[in-house]
Amino acid sequence: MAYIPRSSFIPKEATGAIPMQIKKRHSLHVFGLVSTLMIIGSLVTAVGAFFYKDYEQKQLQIAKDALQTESAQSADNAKKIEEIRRYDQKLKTASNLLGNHIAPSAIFSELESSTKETVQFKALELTYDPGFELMLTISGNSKELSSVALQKMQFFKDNLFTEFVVRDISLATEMPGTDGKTQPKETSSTDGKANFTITGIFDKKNVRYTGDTALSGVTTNSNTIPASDGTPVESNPATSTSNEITP
Amino acid sequence: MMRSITPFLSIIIAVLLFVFFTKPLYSEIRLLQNEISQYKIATTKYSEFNAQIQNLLSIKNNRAASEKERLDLLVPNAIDSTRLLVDLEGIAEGHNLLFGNVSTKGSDVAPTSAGAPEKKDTSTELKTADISFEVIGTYTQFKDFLSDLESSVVLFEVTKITVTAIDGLFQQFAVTVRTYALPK
Repeated sequence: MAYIPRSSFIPKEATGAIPMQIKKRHSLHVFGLVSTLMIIGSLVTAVGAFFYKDYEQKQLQIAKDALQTESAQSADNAKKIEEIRRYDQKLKTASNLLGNHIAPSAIFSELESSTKETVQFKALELTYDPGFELMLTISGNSKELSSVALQKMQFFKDNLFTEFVVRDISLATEMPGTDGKTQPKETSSTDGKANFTITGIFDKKNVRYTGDTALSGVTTNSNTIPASDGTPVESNPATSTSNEITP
Repeated sequence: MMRSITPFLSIIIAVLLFVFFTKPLYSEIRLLQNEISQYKIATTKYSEFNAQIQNLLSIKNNRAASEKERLDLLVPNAIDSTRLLVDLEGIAEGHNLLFGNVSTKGSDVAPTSAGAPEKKDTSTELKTADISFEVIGTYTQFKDFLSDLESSVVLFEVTKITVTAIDGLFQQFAVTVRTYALPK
C-alpha cells in the first residue's frame, strides 16, 4: 500500500524564525543608524578639525613670538661671543707662555752650587728660544786638567744638562820671560792653566718658572761673592771657599 | 522611497565631508604641529645657547679686576717698546744697575682704535718683540735683577744672556728679552 503524504497542522517554517518582512525592516533600521552615526561623526570631526586648526595656528604664532623674543634678547650675541673668544684665547696664550717661562736666575744658582772650588768660569752665553731648548755655553779655567775632569763629572752628577760637551781644552804654563814677566805658553804639561769650554743643553726642568722662584729659587744671600776678576763663585762651604776666588 | 535613500545619502555626505574637508584639514594641522615643534626646538636651543653665553660671560666678569689686569699685562693687545724700556730701566735702577746700549727688534704692535673699522679677517697671531740691552753692575745685583725680571707681571722672556768676566767688581751683562702681544 502506497504512502500518501497529507497536509500537516505543523507550520512549514521553523518556530522562532523572523518573518522576512520584519527582518527587512530591522536591517533598514541598522543601516539608518550607521549612516546617522557616520554623518554625525563626520560633522563633529570636521568642526573639531576646523577649530583645532585655528588653535594650532595660534600656538604657532605664540612659538614664533617666543623665538623672536629670545632672539631679540641676544641681539648683541656676536659681540659677546667675540668677547668670550678673545678672553679664552688670552687665557690659553698666557698659560702657554707661562708654561715655557724660565727663571734664568736659577741657572746661576744651579751653576754656583755645581761649580768646583778649583774652577773659574770666565764667560757665559745663554740662548733660549721659548718652547725649544735652552743652550748654555760657559768658558772657564782651572789650575789643573784634573779639575776640568772633576767639573765635568760634577755636572754629570748634578744633571744640570741633558747633554753637554767639554771642548777647546788648552793648557798654558807660566814661563819666566826675559824681562822678568811671565809669558804664557801652550803646552800639554799638567802644571799650568787649563782653559775649557762647556756647551750643552741645560735641563729646563731645573729652571722652569714656578711662580715662587723670585722668592725661593734664587739665592740672593750675601755669601755670593764675585771674584775680583768678576767671576761669580758661591761661597758654599760644601763646594767652595772664598779663598779660592782671590787671584 | 525617500526614507530608504536618506541613509545612503548620509553615508555619501559623510565620506565626502571627510575626504574633501576633514582630511586636508588634518594634513594642515599636522604641518602646523611640525612647524610649532620646530619653532619650540629652535627656541629651546636658542635659550640654551643664550644661557651658555651668559654663563661664560659671568665667569669672565666674576674674575677679580686685578686678575684681569694681570692677564692684560701678561698678554697685552699691543707692544709699546718705549714703555717696556722704561719698565726695564726701572727694574735695573731698582738694583743699582747701569742700563744702556738698547736696541729693539720687531715693530711695535698698535692696539685697534675704538673708532677704526674692524677687519673681518683679523690676525690673532701672537706678536713678539725682542729688546736687547746691557746692564753694568755686580753679579749679585744682576741676579736680583733677573729675579725681578722673570717674576715681572709684564712677561719678559729672557732669550739671551752674554757675559764675559772682566777685572773688577762690576761686570757688563748683555741681555735680550722677548715680549709678547696678542693684537685684537
